[in-house]
Amino acid sequence: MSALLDVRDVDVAIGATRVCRGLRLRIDPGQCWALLGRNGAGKTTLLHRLAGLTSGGRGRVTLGGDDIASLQPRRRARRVAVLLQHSDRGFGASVLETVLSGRHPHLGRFAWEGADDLAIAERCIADTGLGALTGRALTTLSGGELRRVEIARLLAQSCPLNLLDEPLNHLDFGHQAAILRLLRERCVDRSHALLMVVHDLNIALRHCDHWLLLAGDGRWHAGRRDDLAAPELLSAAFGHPVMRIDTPAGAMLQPRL
Amino acid sequence: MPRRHRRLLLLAALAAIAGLAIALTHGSAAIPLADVARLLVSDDGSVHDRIIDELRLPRALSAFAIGALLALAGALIQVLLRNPLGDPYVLGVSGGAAAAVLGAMLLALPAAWYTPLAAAGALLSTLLVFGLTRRGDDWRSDRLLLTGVVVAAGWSALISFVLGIAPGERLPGMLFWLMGDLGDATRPGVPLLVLLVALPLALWRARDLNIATRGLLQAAALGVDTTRLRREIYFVGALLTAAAVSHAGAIGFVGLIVPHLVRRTGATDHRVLLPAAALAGGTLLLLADTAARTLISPMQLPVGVLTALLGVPMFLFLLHRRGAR
Repeated sequence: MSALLDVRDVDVAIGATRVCRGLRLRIDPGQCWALLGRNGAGKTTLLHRLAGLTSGGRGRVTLGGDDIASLQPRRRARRVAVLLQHSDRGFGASVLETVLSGRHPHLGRFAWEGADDLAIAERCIADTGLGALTGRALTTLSGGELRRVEIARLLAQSCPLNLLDEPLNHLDFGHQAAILRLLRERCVDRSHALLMVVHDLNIALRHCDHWLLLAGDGRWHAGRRDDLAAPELLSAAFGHPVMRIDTPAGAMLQPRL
Repeated sequence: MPRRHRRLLLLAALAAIAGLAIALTHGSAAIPLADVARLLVSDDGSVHDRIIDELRLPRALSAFAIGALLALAGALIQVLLRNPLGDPYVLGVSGGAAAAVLGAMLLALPAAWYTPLAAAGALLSTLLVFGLTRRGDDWRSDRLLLTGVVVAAGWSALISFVLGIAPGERLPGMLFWLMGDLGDATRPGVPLLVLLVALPLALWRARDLNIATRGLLQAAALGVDTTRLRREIYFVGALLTAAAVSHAGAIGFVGLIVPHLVRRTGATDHRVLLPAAALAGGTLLLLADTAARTLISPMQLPVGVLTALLGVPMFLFLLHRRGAR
């Protein structure tokens, strides 16, 4: 079986700054990946490259066996959904219209969204707790509500692979827990996988089974969480001491504050 | 299509028909609506027949088509720049056209040259802005906006120079042209044809445009080929504007305001916004032109003055209406 995402010897750089050299990893269905690294390490740039939004540099990214750079954009968007770090409120489109835009790659040129598209969008809106805001314009939403609209849009896109850039930004801890549960439920199973940029080491520890850790100088570590959740490795990558504390509720990673 | 969208389009179409009826019945000779309807289908060679066939109908269709072109161009350019202040003239189109036509007027070239010269000036300026903006692969909307504004300022200086050295008797014609005037727009064929070609093209991209309002990266993530989309919007927008400007001069305000008016009614979806804006823009210019030729007849006002006089209160009303989105 071919992997959902296969990354072979990929180099990514931002100007003269190395993000990663010779990156190799494979994302299979059922996996939940955390992309970790300090500010400016290039997590977003790498995520865009993996999503096929940028190209160039050495290496090859394949999506279900097809080279992502040669995949037609609309077909690509049916296989990989992306949550961007920042989102724009646009010109006053409503919550429903925005979530429905997730169906865009599935629809023909002149087609209007059908009853099933509407049902999918409404379910995603309900699942993200936005039921009361369906008709509201994006311009009137709070930051956390806007974030959840984007997550609903990503879910409506119904892709096997989901790449999320800081999905928990602007969310309070209650909504963080609810969204994490929802993402695990909808994007991590026999046919789906997910990779997300997170800053909270304990969320990565608790919710993600695989980690991709950027060291900030082109070096990287990818693999099972249990092999990477080591205080020395993290302290070096973040340039700040982290310790591991065993608690009755399980292990915790605690940066020195 | 949701019902409220269908209702809006129907309303806009009815308004356009009503506007056409008003334009055809009003003028130096008042012709009752029943006569207008009869004369449109059967000719009787009377004075009224000739007024309708040779004067009012071509001018009304020109006004409608040009208004629709400007509104459509405005809607597209606002997405391209992702700036609500986007206006078809930002691409430098009107400046190039105006400089060419005013130069021709200064040299007393025949009036038949104005339209082709305006089109040439518009396209030259469009390519200039495009070339200056598109160095390398970095095409940011703020850079396009700044380039357009600066190039327009250059044309504006050239226009002021021409106005400054022009002999007094040629000034009124030049000013009319600068403000936008439909007095010589007697051949609606080209603007109507451009409209009929461009509207389906734009509708083909309507859902892509919806997503592009939320950023090009977001659009790319949803499977839109953004490089091609930008280029298409740019050239279709410029073509629409050039077709309008070369026939009627630099009519302001329609392209800026009409898309906003339509968005205020809740139609932010470009599948509805684009046809509704075309209809509303056409109707607005039709009514403004009817007012321009009847208000102080037998004198005529430049229609650009009327579009602003009608558009400003309408826009402010909708902008500040309670409960508006």
